[in-house]
Amino acid sequence: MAGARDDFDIARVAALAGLELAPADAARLHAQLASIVGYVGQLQDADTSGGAPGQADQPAADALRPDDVLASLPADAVLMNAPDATADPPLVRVPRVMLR
Amino acid sequence: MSGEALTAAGIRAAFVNGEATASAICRAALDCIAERNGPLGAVLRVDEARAMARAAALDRAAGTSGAGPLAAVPVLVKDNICVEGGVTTAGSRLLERFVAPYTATAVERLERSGAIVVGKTNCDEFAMGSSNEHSAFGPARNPWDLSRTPGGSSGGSAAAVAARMAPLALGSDTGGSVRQPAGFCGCVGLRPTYGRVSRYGLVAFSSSLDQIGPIALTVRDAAAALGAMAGLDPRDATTSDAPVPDWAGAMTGDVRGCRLGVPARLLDGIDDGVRAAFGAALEVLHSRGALIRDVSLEHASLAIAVYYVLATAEASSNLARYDGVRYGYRAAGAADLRGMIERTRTEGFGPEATRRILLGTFVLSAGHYDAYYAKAQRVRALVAADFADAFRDVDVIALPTSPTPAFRLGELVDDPLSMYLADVFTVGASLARLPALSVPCGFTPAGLPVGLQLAGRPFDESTILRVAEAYERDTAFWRVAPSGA
Repeated sequence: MAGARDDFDIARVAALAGLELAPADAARLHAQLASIVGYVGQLQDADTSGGAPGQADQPAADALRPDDVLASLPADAVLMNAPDATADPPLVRVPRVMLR
Repeated sequence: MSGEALTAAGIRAAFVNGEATASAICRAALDCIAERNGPLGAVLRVDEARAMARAAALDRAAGTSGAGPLAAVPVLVKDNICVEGGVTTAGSRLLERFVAPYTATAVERLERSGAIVVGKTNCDEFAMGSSNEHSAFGPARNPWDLSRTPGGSSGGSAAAVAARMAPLALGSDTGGSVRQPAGFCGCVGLRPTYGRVSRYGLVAFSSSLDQIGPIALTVRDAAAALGAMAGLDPRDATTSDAPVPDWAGAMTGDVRGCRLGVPARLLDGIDDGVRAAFGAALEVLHSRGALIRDVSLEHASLAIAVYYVLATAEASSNLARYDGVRYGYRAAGAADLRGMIERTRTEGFGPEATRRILLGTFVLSAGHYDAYYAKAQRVRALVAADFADAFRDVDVIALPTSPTPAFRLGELVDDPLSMYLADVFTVGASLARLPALSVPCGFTPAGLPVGLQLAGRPFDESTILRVAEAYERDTAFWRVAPSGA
């Protein structure tokens, strides 16, 4: 098993993931994730030079379908679960976008 | 009631023969859940009104048309699968108040076959976990030993079936989340071939791996549920148009000449009780005429690493949708949109989901994508090729479902890497998109269930069901119920 790695920048990754971590949580998660990243780092030693012998990442069936307009959920059903919404017009409401 | 009467087949027979009404069967299931669920935490909620209305409709239609293959059978559904009008939490605070606007295809098809959905089961948050300890609503417990985990992430479904609250439950299996809890709880758990069952209405975790599968008391019941759910669904583009065979008819009990491959090299270091039960299971199948052969899965030791790169990468993408805008929890008090999204996600996700989102974001990030994500995709292909090579010489690959019996609650929860390593025998079939099942194969000296895992060629569920059902005829460990059930 590979050892813990120190190239796991928890602050950068949290920002990319849209998460705000408290310092204590960040330290704990950094230790855990550095260990896991070290473990999965063993993949880098695997010999894949022969090229991919299969298509394991391909969908099981042809994903294309006719470009037809199909029914979708009505607006009230879509907005039923919204944390903040207006019925007329049917919109979700969010805090200001242009603040910082 | 005991034995066959508690199976889906037995319940259907009682209904069809006029020995019990669907309403009485449904009432008994609801009462059983009310009586037994408290210490187990397996069922998050029941929908009594919906279930009893459905049962009454079945009673009204009795005798007027052919009874479906699951007529009057109570079914529990993992809480990451949508049932219209009911809450679907996926084990997360983020979705605590989410009301499903539609029903999953798998559930719709079960109901069309006569099944009655009676409630929703506990699971690890967004199906991420191997112990059910990562549910926002508390852990489920193993009915064989309440100090132990039922496994995960479909732990509630397995615990409920083992405790005879319902003969059948749905789970989802990404890296083993149907098979491992089934093994830990002494149930049958079936992961279908990728593309066999629609995921429409399943809360997405890892889209190249997720599959819905049944957890049941017997192999025949699992096959009946699979038969009801399988087949092309225009609402899930990954479903296959492969024909759906007659799985019941395939279960002949005849395994003469069937070649079972055992990757013996992978068995080093497993629990002694698991090893003994697995060895005894192979002897039973050998005595029925199956041939046991050694197979080499050269890249199997890399499967855990591949899985935790690819599954977390896909999770980080799928879980980006939880931003507090369109549905789910929204944090209060943020001054701007970006702050609201970050606060919502930070407060909403539990520890394991947070860990996996961070890992997945890392392996997809600039500077690391090629070394981790792209590399893992290439090694995934090697893992799949190993299975394809092995299936040139054998018909089924047999392994214990897990290297240990159910571990204690709290034992691994703070050691995520060790928890991940416990998936060592299940992730391979997931990565290779193969059908695989776990069938009870005995108990450890401490009385904990052990599962026998059988994996087959793509879309060849028939062979693994035939072998498992033949094994079940000679052993019938499913008849042994935990105390209180």
